[in-house]
Amino acid sequence: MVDRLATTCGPLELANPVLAASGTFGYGESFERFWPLDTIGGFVTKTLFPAPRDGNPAPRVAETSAGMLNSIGLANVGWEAFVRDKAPRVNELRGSARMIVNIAGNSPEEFGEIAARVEADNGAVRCDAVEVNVSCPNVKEGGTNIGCHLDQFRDAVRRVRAATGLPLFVKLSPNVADVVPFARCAADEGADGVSLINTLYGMQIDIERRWPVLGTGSGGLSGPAILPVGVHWVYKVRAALPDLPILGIGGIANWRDALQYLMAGAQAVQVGTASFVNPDACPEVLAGLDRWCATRGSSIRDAIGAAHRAGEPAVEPVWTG
Amino acid sequence: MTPGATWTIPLQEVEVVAEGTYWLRFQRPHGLACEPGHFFMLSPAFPGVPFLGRPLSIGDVHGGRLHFLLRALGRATRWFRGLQPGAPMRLVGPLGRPFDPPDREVHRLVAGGIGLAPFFYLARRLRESRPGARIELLYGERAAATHVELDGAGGELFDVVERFTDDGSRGASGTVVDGAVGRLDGVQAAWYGCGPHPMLRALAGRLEEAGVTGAQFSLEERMACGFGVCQACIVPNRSGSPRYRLLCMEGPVVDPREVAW
Repeated sequence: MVDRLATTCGPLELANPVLAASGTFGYGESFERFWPLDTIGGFVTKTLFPAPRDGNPAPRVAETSAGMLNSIGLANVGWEAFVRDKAPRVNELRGSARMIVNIAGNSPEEFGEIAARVEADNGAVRCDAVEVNVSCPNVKEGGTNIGCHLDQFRDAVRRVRAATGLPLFVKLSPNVADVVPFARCAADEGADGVSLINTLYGMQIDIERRWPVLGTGSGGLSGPAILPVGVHWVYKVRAALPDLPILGIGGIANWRDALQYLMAGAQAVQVGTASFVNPDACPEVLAGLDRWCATRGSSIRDAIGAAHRAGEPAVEPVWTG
Repeated sequence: MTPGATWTIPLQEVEVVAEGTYWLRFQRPHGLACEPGHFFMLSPAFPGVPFLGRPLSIGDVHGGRLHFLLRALGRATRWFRGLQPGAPMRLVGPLGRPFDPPDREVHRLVAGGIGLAPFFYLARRLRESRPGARIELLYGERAAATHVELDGAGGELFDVVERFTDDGSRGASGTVVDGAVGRLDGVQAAWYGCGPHPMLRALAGRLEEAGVTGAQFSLEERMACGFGVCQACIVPNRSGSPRYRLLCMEGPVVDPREVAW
């Protein structure tokens, strides 16, 4: 009998549908003090570049209503240090949890370069999939965001796909008029699935200083505030591309939020910012989904895409206040 | 690595002790042990406003309770002040690198404003671990109204208390850094500092000029997580390599000579 929480997202088989999102889980080792890593279905590493990056000046975070802004600037240890210092340790810890390596570069060429290094080093690294973070500035092209320009996006995804045979997920930016063409492009270029959404552009002004709070001015908005945005785009991408596997991300703080993403069409979810506030967020979401399955005698797979079925629900809506 | 964990416990008491300044108290959960200088991320158990946790030094551990000293200056610190006993709170910790008191005859604690917070527990533990040592508190506030009284629970912790205000309305006139300079007396004291960044920058400069080594400052930075993941709490290293440290992991207690102020 298949476990009621087991799910697959394209080529990725998961013991359960809860993953920890990139940038909120370090390189997999940081939550060891709170709970065993193999509790969850998997995790996505912090975005790795070919070379280390110090990141942006402070302040790097600001609280917003039901969320936060960040301008960390993709600070990371670089691929070499990850292979040498991080991967061996996390492989000892992770058990059945899937490791998805998140990668990026400063140009489409660099995306190809880092993907080739993942492919070359994966005998040692043993990651289960690659997630591409296209929400970063293209330094050569004047800093415009690769994930917001379809031609650069296609170029980057094509180079990554050519460089690696690992399961490939492309993490999509919501900072576009329509996410669906980007999802379609990723599918056309051979990606095995898409992760959505990344953070939304945002800014907070310090009204005393009359100046932006973040050191870089603007940053990325995350947290419960963006949940409906993510659910919207997962629903739209699923409707347009029903066969494209989806990892749902954005504002998940509890099992009800996760279930919304699954019903919108995601095969699994990633919990991000909530883990900053509550380090037990991932296991708590998972426990809630398990209770939901147990109560209904169903499997989590019954929820996936459930909001798309034809016809009106038999049950009338009830407003509970 | 610090042995942090997540604790969801009810708030026991809010006690206002000076203008905008209050203690949050909790019953100490079984199994929770911490050192002076450790911090906890505090947030409502059901996050809304505020959303993120706030990093707070442990103020005191005493009478089976955890004590945190706060000042209502921002969104969360104002909100916490209005909480009622029983409010469910999330504490993540203990986190960070605590004070590591050296074996000295004199321990000089320099507090600016709400930077007083970690020194109750530090003094309490120094009393136990360094019997006979003299514990001096130099404590400055801008104004008399925000000076926290130290009689009762706090009074017996310090052998000497010197107060400072900008206008001299409580204690000596001037900043606590002025007061500290007056104490650079050649005695091999252990120095500790906590307070606003400009105060600590000035104090670091004066201590360095005087050739004081081994000082320990508890710094503060914006944090989202408190355990090395969000990468927000960067402090520039004087060595420049690496360029930054994460205060939550390589802090909050630092050697001021290692910081690019």
